[in-house]
Amino acid sequence: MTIPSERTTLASAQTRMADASSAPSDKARRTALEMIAPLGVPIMTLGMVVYFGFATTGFLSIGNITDVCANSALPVIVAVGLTIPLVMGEFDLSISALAGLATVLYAQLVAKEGVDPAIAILVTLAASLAAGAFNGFMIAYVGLPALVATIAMSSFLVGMQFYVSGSVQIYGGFPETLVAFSRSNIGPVPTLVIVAAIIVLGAWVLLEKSVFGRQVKAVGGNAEAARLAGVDVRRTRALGFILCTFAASIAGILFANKQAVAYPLAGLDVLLPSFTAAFIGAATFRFGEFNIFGTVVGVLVTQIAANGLILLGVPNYTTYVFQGVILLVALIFARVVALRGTN
Amino acid sequence: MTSDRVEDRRRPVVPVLDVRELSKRYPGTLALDRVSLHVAPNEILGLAGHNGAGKSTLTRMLTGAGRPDSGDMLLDGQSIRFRSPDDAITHGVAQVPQPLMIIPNLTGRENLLLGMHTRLFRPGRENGEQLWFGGSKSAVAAVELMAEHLHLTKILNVKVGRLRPVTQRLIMIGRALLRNPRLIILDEPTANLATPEVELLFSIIRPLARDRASVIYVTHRLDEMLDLCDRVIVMRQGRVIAEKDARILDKKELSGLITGADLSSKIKTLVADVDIHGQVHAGGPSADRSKTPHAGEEVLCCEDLCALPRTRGVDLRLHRGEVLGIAGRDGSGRTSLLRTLWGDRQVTSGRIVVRGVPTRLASPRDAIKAGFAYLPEERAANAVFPLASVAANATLPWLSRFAGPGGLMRAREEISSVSTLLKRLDVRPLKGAAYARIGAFSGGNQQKVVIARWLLGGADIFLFDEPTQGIDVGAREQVYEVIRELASDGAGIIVVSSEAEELARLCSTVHLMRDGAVVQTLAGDDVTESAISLAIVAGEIEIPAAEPWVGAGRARVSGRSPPDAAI
Repeated sequence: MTIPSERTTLASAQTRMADASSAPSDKARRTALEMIAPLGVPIMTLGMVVYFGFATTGFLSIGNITDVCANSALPVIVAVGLTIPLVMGEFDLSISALAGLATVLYAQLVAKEGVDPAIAILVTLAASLAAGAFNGFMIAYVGLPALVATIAMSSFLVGMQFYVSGSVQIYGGFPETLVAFSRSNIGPVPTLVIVAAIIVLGAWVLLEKSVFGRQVKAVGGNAEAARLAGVDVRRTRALGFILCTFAASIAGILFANKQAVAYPLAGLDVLLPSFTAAFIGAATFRFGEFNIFGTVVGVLVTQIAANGLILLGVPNYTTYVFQGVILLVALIFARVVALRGTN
Repeated sequence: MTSDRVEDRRRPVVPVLDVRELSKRYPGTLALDRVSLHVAPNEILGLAGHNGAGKSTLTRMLTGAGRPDSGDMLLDGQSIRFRSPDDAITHGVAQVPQPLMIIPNLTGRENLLLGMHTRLFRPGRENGEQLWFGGSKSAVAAVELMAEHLHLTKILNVKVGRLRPVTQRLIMIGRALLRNPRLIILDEPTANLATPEVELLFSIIRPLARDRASVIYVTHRLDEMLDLCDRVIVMRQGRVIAEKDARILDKKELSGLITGADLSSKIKTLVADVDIHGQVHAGGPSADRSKTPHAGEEVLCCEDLCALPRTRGVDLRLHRGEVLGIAGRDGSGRTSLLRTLWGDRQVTSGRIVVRGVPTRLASPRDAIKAGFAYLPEERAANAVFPLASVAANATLPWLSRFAGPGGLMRAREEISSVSTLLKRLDVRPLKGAAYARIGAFSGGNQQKVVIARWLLGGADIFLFDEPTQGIDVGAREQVYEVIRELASDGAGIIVVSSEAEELARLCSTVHLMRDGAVVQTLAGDDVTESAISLAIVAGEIEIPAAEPWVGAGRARVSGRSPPDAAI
């Protein structure tokens, strides 16, 4: 058997796996599904674009496309950060509260306390890293379930948003250069999109090409085997949570600069969208595995849908309905393919 | 009853199951190629063949888990096609799958009741035990009766997680029998049982199976097959290539039939050198275990090593070039000893001396640094990342060595180091193996990749836990070959195994463990399969705990049994 490239190796490997175990049920159908499945999301996205393009005016205009991209930038940063714990089989429900705290804390420091922006950013990042480290410690070392630990953290962080801001809206006094930076374009491309792209690339290199990424995948693939092979599973898990909160707080700071206004609970609404994006991502490209580029596509899908629905003139709450539905569809889709594959 | 059956056999009887020309094609392979076989009433039919020979595909077709492309299945003379596993059970074909499928936190009774007509949360207490999953009256009565037949009465109220594997297996068998099957398929029921437990299991299931149902028995263990079965069918490459009366078949012939002509002549000689009792004739290629033991310096020494509660005062010495065996039944502390040496259990007293230096091993990382390598039992659960590439599986403990600037992997270097080792270990197919997902490879090849993992780091103390678990006959020889090669290259090796034959063939010294301590040591010419089996059994007899499983027809014991009697 000649194997010209890695991609074909995987395909032939799957065939061989089936041969070796001699236990596939219906391989023909499975292979067909496996070929179509990773394309499901792109096809769905294309369908949405075509539909919105015909059904609305202005959906395919340059201005609107730029808008969708600009609106996607910050959610992409958060969702890509969330992908790291997800790859490890963990998750973080405190990302939204954390991004919110970063927004409020940074805004309070620069706008109300008059702190130098660089120091304000450092303090904000330090606070969020502390929160991430606490999450990581509680989950990886103490062994608390991520579900409850990160919900608790989330509630705590929401409280802190009110405490830090004194429950008062913060506006005015934001550093002009940073505000301008966050709203600027480089050529036709919003600067924040470029920032997001850099973070996406960094996350991809980290996950796919680095030692840490290998360890993350090993922990996600088989934590017990990773431990017995000498991987420091607990440290890897904790670091994953720290990286996740780091991404969320960067997005929060950028959000504050972009809006030049901050108020508790009025920050980035990224909790459900990020999970939706990551799970759509797990149904894209590498099927059944969370992956960085899949997550990016997932964010774009949710943003395109939200934008298109607004242009259609449907009520605002439709976005929530749509997001819930699309998350369920992504999960069901993944489940059906998995069942076909194993049964 | 017995004489009736003998007469029955002389008359032409309608087979319970008659399979005619069954074929099943998967893209790229013909998994079943016109397979025909029949199972007579009250017969135990052995199904042999190595991994990929078509055994599992066949059992899938027979139990409704898959549909054949062509051919007929007749059940009691009636043509039938199963729509689903449930359908098969309804028609009287039940399977006891190889993985242990029990619910550890439910009692024996509750486990037996699973799948029967149950009512959730039936309030009430029985024998002082809260019942969560109660059954209808008839179901409860059936369970009581089955428990009596299988000598499980004493553990009906014990949480199944606390029972020995053999008992858990019996509960699975009981569960299948409760559906009143006419044909029961036992798939590797002895996979994680030690030799004496296997005998225990056989002594109970043999009469029961014969009175109640025909049996198809699938196993890699040839002795068991010859011991238990009336007739043996050998499959190879999707075809039935031989059908033999088990009484006139010997192990050598069976082994030859299974491995067939496609294996190298070297392995054939190896097989030919093993006589019926699994003992190696002097002069054969595998007899190199007889080379002077303790040839090299001492690499590892345990002095009164305790890691309570599982390891209680173990003394052992391991030398370069030595393969040291650890025998004992499941739960005797074999695995715990290896885990302790791997830094995965807290040493409570005693010490570990590595190459003359007392060493503290507080984590697997410490053990890796000290030159240990650990190949755990249940490879799939403990050692392999099925979706990751072979290379990623092999280099996991050594990532920093392949890291360039910024913690990025130097992929080319990684692939080339791994490829070299894969070639040396004869992983097949070799071409592109380093990139391919490890899940694509057979058990034997996966084990070689795990060995490669530790060779990469230059380990010289190898801890093998059940090295050939789930590996077919041919690949088994190759794993033995690798172990011997490691030893002759100067490594010290400890092998834990449930199979006396394996230990007899590999080891120069065998320690027998019981309750966390070494209780007997066999060395030199005493290391034979029968001596090892005997030592294990001898221990069983001393422990009264094992007795309830032997005494057939024992009076039911009322009230609660002391919990440790069943464990």
